[in-house]
Amino acid sequence: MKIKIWILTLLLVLAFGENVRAAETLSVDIFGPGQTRVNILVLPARGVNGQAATSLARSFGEYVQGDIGFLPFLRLAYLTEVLGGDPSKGLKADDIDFKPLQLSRIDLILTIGGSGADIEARVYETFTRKLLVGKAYSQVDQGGVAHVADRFCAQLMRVLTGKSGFFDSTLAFSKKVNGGKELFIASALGRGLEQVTHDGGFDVSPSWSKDGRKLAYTNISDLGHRLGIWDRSSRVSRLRRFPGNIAISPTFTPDGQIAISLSLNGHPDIYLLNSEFQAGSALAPSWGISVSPSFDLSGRKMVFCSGRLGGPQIFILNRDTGVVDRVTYEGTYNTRPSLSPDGRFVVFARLTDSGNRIFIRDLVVNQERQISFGPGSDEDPSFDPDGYFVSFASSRAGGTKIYVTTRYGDPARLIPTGPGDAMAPAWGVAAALD
Amino acid sequence: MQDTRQTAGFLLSLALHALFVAAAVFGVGNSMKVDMDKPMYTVDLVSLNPSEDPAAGDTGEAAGAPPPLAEGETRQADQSAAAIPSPPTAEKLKPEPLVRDDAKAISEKKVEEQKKLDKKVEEKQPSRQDLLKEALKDVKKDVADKSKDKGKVQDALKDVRSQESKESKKDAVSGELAALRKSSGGNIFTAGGTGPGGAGGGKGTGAGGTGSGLMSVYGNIVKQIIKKNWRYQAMGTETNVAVVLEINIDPKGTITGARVVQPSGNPGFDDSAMRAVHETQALPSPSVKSLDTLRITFNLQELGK
Repeated sequence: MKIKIWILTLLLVLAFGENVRAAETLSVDIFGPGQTRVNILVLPARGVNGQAATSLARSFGEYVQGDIGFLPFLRLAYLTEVLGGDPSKGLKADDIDFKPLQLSRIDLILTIGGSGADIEARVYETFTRKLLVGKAYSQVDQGGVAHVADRFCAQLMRVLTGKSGFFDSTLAFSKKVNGGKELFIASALGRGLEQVTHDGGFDVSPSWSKDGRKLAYTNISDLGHRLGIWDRSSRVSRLRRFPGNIAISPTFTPDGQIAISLSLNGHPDIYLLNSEFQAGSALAPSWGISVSPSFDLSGRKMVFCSGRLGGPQIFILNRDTGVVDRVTYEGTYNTRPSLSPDGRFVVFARLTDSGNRIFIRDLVVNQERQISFGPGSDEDPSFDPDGYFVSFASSRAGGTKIYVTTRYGDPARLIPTGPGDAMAPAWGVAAALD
Repeated sequence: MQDTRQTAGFLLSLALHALFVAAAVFGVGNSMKVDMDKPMYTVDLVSLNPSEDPAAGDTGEAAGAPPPLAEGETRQADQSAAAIPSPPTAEKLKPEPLVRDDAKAISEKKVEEQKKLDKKVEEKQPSRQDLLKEALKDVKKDVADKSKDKGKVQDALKDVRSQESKESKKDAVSGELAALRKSSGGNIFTAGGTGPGGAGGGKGTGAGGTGSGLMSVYGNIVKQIIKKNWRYQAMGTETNVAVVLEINIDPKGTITGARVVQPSGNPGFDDSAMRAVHETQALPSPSVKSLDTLRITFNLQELGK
């Protein structure tokens, strides 16, 4: 009997021996998506009840596609990529066959409908069939359709990334007019272009106040340097002179003060002005020149360009400790720094063998990367309010124009600013043109 | 009396069955004397030694292990044993290059691992060769005699075949490694890459695999495949986002199910991970058969950018 039990036990062990080695689990970590762009397909606009699309809806679709082209995290897909062509019979999820879209790796689909002066647009996620954005606009006319498309794309960007500073902010820049330079503003897509100063001379290096109500800039004329303040609500600008006749690169701090390079002691140092426009003590004083201050959102970190160690290099001041650290070590000529709102990245222009190029430095991991590649000269980099897009001036296509890239160095896109050279772009943190 | 005989017969039958099952489970022919304490197959499975590369047979004798058997060759031997009773010759067991030459190149880390393994292989190698020779001798003898039961022959052949399948499995892994190395620019252990500016730093991340080196190699293969299909509109502004998915795979590597076990708090991000798995559909068959669950953490972190 004992033998029997023993044999049966042996058999059981043999029979289930495999199962004793239990199923195994393997843990895998994936860092960062393999593709940082999602595919979006804009379906042709439709009319209501099977009617042909209105020209307004079609033009809305074209503007939306143009806007999407500015967003490096979206890739515009084409209908020809979808097996069997247009998979929709209408505008809503029930009218769309998502299967071929999933097979074609389309992540998002945008439907546009229009009747009369009304436009409706929806974006669905093809994998979950969820509605991400759905908007209806009424009383749209041909003149306002671009603005409506921008608003819709801002909403889409907000849903996808939580940010929409690109669409919500205003770009100010200096543009050649009548032999001098005046300041202009426009949306980041170049819409609503408007000349805001008529000072004569050269208006350069604009900087927005945090609330977007004021622009500070330098006016250079026969009278020397003057600080200019343009008020958005009154649309008037006022110019002020300072002792020493030098007033370079004024910049608003997040709390509304102005930091500016003044030559009060024989060489330009950066000073904070009080409400009476009087200079206090210098920030990070030295025997060499210091210009181009740029602050993070807290206002406690300031990057600037200084020749305190010889050639112009980028430095960072910690306003809490007063400690100044050198940021750039490569290159002999690094200028025009712009600090990202979170204080992590600095973009600046570096003179290379092939002209000025934009570089970015990550202050946390201490790594540097070139993000603009010419040809010509790339200058005056400036972060957008999200610290993602970087605008700069470039002579790559002849005259100097404004381009936008990202801090990852995505292909630069031209921002239309009309005829004439445009330079020194600055992003306004506040809401865009109404 | 009859009952006693029946019981005895039953017991005898059980004992014989048990022996048979034991032989089948451990893959040991009766005629082979094997020290069961020696984990000889484990060495083969984790072995990625370039010197064991069958392709090495072109230039010289393999240093580590006996020549791997080509699938076709063994089948031929099998057929000839079953149908035409002519013994397989030693010539038929010559190595056949199954893996591309570039499989020889291997990352330093693996080579180090290999060196350790080599020592083990060296210790066990003579017995393995002896075993094979012995098995072949048995096959020859048995087939020539025609008098022994076919079970023995088949046992021996089964053994040869099981070894062959393990060898070819190893070859398949080497092949995958070679392919991966080719596609990822020389180092499969590098995640991410260099950005457009060329200054972006790739950081090495080993798979969080538990257990053998093969598991970690498989983990890397899985990582590469799924990462490739993962699309997310990264603006790089939110970096501390991670979702953990559990994926079930069958022995062929087909994904049979996936679920979020630890959401990120961002449904769109979770969906992107699910979409990547959905698009992947199938993975290579796992090298460890008992592996049926993958726990994948999708981190939104900047490594390549």
